[in-house]
Amino acid sequence: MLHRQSIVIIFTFLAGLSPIAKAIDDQTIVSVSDKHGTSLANIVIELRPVQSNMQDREISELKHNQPGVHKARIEQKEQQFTPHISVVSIDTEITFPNLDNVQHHVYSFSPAKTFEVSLQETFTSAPIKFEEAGIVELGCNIHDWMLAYVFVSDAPWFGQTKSDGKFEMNLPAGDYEVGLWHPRLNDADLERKFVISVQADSRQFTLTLADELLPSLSGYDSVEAVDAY
Amino acid sequence: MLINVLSKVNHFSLKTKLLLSFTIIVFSLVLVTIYVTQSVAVTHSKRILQENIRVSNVVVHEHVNDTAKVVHKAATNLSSDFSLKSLILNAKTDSASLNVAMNNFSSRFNTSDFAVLSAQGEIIVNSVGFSSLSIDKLDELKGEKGGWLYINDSFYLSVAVPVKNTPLSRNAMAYLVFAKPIERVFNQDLATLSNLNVAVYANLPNMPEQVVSSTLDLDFAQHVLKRRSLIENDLYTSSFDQVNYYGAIKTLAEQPSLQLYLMLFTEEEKVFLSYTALLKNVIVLLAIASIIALIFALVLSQTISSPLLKLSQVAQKIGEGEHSINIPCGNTKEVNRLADAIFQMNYKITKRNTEIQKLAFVDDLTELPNRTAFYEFVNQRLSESVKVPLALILIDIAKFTDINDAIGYQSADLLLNQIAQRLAKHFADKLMVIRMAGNQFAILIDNNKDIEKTVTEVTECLHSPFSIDDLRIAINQKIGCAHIDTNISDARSLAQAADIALKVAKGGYSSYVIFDESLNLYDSHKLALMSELGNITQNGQLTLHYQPQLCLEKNKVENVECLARWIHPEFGFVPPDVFIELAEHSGQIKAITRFVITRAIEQHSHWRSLGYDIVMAVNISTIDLSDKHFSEFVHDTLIKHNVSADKLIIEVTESAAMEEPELALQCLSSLSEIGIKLSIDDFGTGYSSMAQLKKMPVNELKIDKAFVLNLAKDTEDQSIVATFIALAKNLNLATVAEGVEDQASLDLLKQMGCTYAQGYHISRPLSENAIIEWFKSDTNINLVAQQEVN
Repeated sequence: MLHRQSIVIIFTFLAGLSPIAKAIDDQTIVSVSDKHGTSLANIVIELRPVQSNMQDREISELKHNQPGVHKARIEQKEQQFTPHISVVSIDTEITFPNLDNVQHHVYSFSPAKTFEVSLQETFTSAPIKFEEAGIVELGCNIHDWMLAYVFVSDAPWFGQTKSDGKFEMNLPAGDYEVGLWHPRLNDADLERKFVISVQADSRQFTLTLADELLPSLSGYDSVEAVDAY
Repeated sequence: MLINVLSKVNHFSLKTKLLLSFTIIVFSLVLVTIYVTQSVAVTHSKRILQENIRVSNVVVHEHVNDTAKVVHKAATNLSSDFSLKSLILNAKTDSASLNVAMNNFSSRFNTSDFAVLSAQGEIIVNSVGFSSLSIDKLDELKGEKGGWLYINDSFYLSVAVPVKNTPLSRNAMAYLVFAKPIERVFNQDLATLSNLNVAVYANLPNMPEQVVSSTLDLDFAQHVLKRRSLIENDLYTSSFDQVNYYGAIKTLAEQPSLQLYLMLFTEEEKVFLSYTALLKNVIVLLAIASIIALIFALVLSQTISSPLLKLSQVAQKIGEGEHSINIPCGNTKEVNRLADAIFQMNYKITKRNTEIQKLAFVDDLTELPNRTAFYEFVNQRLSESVKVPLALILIDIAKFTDINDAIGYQSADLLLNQIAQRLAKHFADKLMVIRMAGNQFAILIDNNKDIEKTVTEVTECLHSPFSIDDLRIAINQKIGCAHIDTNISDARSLAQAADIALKVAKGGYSSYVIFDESLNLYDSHKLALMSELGNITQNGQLTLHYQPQLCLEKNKVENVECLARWIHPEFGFVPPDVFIELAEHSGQIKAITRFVITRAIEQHSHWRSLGYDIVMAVNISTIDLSDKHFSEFVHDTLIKHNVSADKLIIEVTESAAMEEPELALQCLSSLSEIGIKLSIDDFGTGYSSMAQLKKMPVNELKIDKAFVLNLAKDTEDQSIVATFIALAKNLNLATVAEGVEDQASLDLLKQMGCTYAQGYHISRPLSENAIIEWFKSDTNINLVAQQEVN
């Protein structure tokens, strides 16, 4: 049983972000839907400004992904990872608290970050720092069904669609290359680059997938794909 | 065809036919069974083979799949192993650890070779010889059934499993490959699992078909494979080293990079073993069945034919006249029916025989034994003993025709019946009382010395009259007797002898005659003569002799009596009374009489031409008197020869004239009307009625020679003859005395006034030539009057 409420993505915004947000009043909304028009939640979105259209300064000031150590948390609860998919910036430190009263053994063999932590019951290990951009698959050596993804992004802007399939973000006007990621997306959609042009009067975009979603591999996906919408 | 054969063996016995039929049936059964068994067995064997092939194919595939699955499962488990993943991750720096670990797992999984490839397809570690494994082939090895690899001239059943970060990861971080050489897949276990021999061959590009593994020797399998040829559907046959093999080809694996085929085969004798053995068994069984069938046929035919044989013997016995026979029972309905039919036939034959016997041996009217019964009885007795002195007394009821006419047939039959009853009753103690013929009875006695005694008894027995319808009828009888002796040795001879004796008795005055040999000879002589009588008027054996009659008053011969003489070339002279009697019995007398009359008239005519005028006296028989055309014939003959009627005298015996007086009168009257003179012959011997005599147109009486022969010495005769002559004179009749043999008698007759004399004293009867001479020597012959001659 999964709880939307429990899916908490913690973005830790550093000081100095507020003036920028202030400078641009209006939120840019990007919606993701499948080819049938169904809104899709939990889709990871990366936005990279098309260079020519935007000043480097603007990017470095306004970008979502600011340098520095960020923190995140992935719980082991009821023998599942929560959240299922985490999107973090580089150098984020993630803690793995064990909220169950059984042992867990969290590991990753992903090239972006290989590690293992053995967790006693109700134990929180020292945080693990994800220095490299990439996708890190987390498993539990004791519970084969446990699976979590940590998307370590190096893009200036990134995030996940919410349960209504929408992603909201303050963006300076300009052209952006948008990348999507989700374990159920096909390669074609993963490799596809959407380009959106954010203008004062053009701030809402809908990205439609070209292919069907891949079949669900676990209980997560049904929640994400079906229950949310 | 069978029917033809069977119909051609009609002359064979039932047993043979049955045997033949059974043999043909059994033989046909054998042929049909062998044919059916063969075709069924072959079809069946092929079906069994195909079923075996199907099963073996499944077994082989299952075996291969199971082998692959076992490895796959182990490899899958291994792929989730945390430490293995660590080793793989660390292989860049420490490949040796991974290699050792993989070696360890490979031997644990009972595979021979392995390889670990990165997700990108680079080999991380590998067993010896697997360095050339390329990632392209990996897709063919994925899945729990794995796939086949061809590396370094060897085939491997291989399994490839991905190693993932986490079990639920979508992408592999590496691949594990485990491989088992083909010869360890097609091992002895498989040979025992499969009924058939298994060979695997590969069809590699630019290479001949090559057996790569087999449960048998590879070279051998290669030979079988090479020599195979398709027979039907997917069945192949092949032969090697003088053994035939049957089998099929099945696909083992069809991968993009290689194809493997299964050859499933077995020896012919295993496929058709059951057939050959079955055929042998069938032949043995059929042989036993044939023997049993033949025994049954024998028994059956025996049970049918032996009662039939018995029945046929019985039928033969019945045919031979045996009647009191036990009809054997058969043991089948048909035979019993036949037995019953034979029994019925026998019964009916016996019954009919009795009836026929009765008809044959018993006289209808009197119920006395008949002549046939008499023959049977006597012959039977004589066959028992030749020396039985059997004697037969044959009784003839006299004048039975007259009695019959007088009282009618029915009463006559009653009379015969009464006679029969009386005889039967009276002579019940004798051997037999027989009705021999219409009015003839006979008594058979067994002692020839009793003949005369019996005859007397018969006479006494029949003496008292019989009463028929208030009529009292007395009968007379003549009796002929005969007995068995050296010459009379059978029934027929005995009856014949008695018959002859009877005839003699009937011809004489005595009431009975006992047969002796002289009678018999006489009789047989007569029979011979009778057969020749018909020809004597034509063949010149019958001639006329003439005896002159002397006219006593004129002392002149005026008449001759014409006497028929039969000189038989063999027997010589036949007495007239003998052959006349025969002629009367045989009906020849009319022809003889006519011949005599014709000859007499011709002779008269001839003599007249010579100058003699002689009256011809001719005897006729009683039978001629009943001939209505007789007078007409005489008249015609006279006219034909231009002879006057008064030149002919017709003589009729007294008895003939008196026997049928009406007929005689009629005939004689018409003769008399013509002008012919009539004479009563043998006068004095019969019982002439003077009243009848008076009515008759008679001109002359001929006094019987019995009265004349001793006339000169016998005074009784003299007075009788004198009385006759006086009587004749009174009736105005001429008289002729026969048998005048001396002058004294002649003188006496002349003195008595007799008209003519005839006898040896004057002349014996002379032949035609002799009498002419006699005429010439005697002057007292009546000559033709002078004027007549002219």
